[in-house]
Amino acid sequence: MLKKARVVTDPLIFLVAIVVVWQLVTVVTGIHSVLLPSPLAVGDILTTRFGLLLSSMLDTYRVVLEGFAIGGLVGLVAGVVIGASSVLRTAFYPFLVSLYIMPKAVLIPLFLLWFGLGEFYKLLVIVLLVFFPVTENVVTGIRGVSVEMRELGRITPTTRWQTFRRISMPSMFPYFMAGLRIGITEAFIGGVLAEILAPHAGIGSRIAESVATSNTQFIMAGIIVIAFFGITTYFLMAFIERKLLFWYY
Amino acid sequence: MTVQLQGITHVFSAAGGSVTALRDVSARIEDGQFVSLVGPSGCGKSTLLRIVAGLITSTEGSVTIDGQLIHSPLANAGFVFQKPVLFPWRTVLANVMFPYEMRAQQDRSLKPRRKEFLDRAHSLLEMAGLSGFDRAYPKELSGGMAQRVAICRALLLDPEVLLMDEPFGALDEFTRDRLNVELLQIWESSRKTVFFVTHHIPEAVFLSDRVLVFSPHPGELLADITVDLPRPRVPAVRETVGFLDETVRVRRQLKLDEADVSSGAAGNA
Repeated sequence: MLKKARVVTDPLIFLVAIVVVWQLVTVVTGIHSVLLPSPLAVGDILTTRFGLLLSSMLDTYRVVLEGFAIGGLVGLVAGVVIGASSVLRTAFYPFLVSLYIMPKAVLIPLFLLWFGLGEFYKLLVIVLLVFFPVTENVVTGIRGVSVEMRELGRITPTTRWQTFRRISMPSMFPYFMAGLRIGITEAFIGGVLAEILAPHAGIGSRIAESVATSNTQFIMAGIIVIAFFGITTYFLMAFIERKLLFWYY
Repeated sequence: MTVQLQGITHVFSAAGGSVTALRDVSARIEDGQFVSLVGPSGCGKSTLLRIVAGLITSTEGSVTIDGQLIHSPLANAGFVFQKPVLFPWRTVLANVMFPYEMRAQQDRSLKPRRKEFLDRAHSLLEMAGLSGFDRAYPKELSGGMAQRVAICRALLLDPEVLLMDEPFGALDEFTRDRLNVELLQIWESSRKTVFFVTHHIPEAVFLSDRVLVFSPHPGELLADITVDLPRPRVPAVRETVGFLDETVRVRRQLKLDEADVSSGAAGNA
């Protein structure tokens, strides 16, 4: 029980330490607040502009979750198809990889051109970032089914569908979940990045505006809000993963 | 069931050329016999087991079971691997029931017999000393317990032939000895035809009616030794002169003692 509590308390102690040092640095050096606002100034923004920060973040969060869901699903289906067929793997893999490693800053202008400013192009950026780690993991999981397990399937014997449903799917499930965990972080990155590069709505757009007005306090407050949502979502997912994969961990 | 191996040769072709794993192996295994395949690593005994199972088709030669030619995986065989190969997401009971569940989905006439197979799974687990572990997951089991579950699974559908590929090779000596005794008890009660691959000579002698001795590179049948020890065999059999004589007979056939030090070491690996 003590150990469990420390999972929460240790990072909190570290956080307090950072804030204290940060405050000291701003007071002692008298650095200009545009360069480095004090934690108190940022805290002030967090309270006075809380409504705006929260509603902007929720706008972003909704797209992030939608993109994550679609990307996860597309990634799963693509992974299963590619994992099951070596022909498709050979044919599609180079394209999937090039799509993923392409800097999103390059694709965003194209998407804007085709789909215009709005939720859809944001969604597209997120889906693109989420699906690849999921696909990669699902393929690894399916191909990782041991030779003996396949032989067991043949000797039982299992039908093709049974082999897929009863052996391959459960085998790759832990990999799928790990892919989703990477995917959710990618979804946050994609959502905020899309908003900053083409401000329209959401927390990223508010931050982009604050950059233009040198409102560093607001940028930092925005970062804190994003971090809070990101961490909470990530650990919630990790928790669900542990519950679902009790037989694995 | 009676298994006839006729002139079995198997060649694996790999990038670096081809390797002859088995050469001209012929043997006839009578119904209900416990037969061990013994030999150093690389003698093709695991390959032969997979050929009998129908998992691999031999390059030359044939396997006939009760006069029937085998080319696809045997429908009525239980297979036990060196590793337990349990499904970690299934409980112990669900692992044992796996073959029935798959069959019942394929053949609806088996559906109403679920209770019967469930009872059989329970009694197999009890026989293996695993009662009370029904709901445990594989990660909670020791290596020996997991392997016993794998044996129960292989026996669930009451196969006519049991194929075992070094099933106790990964276990410590004490667990191996105990599981040998348990396996014999199970076998005595049903007398199935068993093919048992091992490189542990005392294990082969203790369990078997016959020991087929193989040479490595390529795997050739060196000797077919009938073990002349009374059944049922109790652990004390291992301490008799007769038992020692039999292990010496097998050992002589392997020519381990005559080999020079380097190849002798490789042979024991």
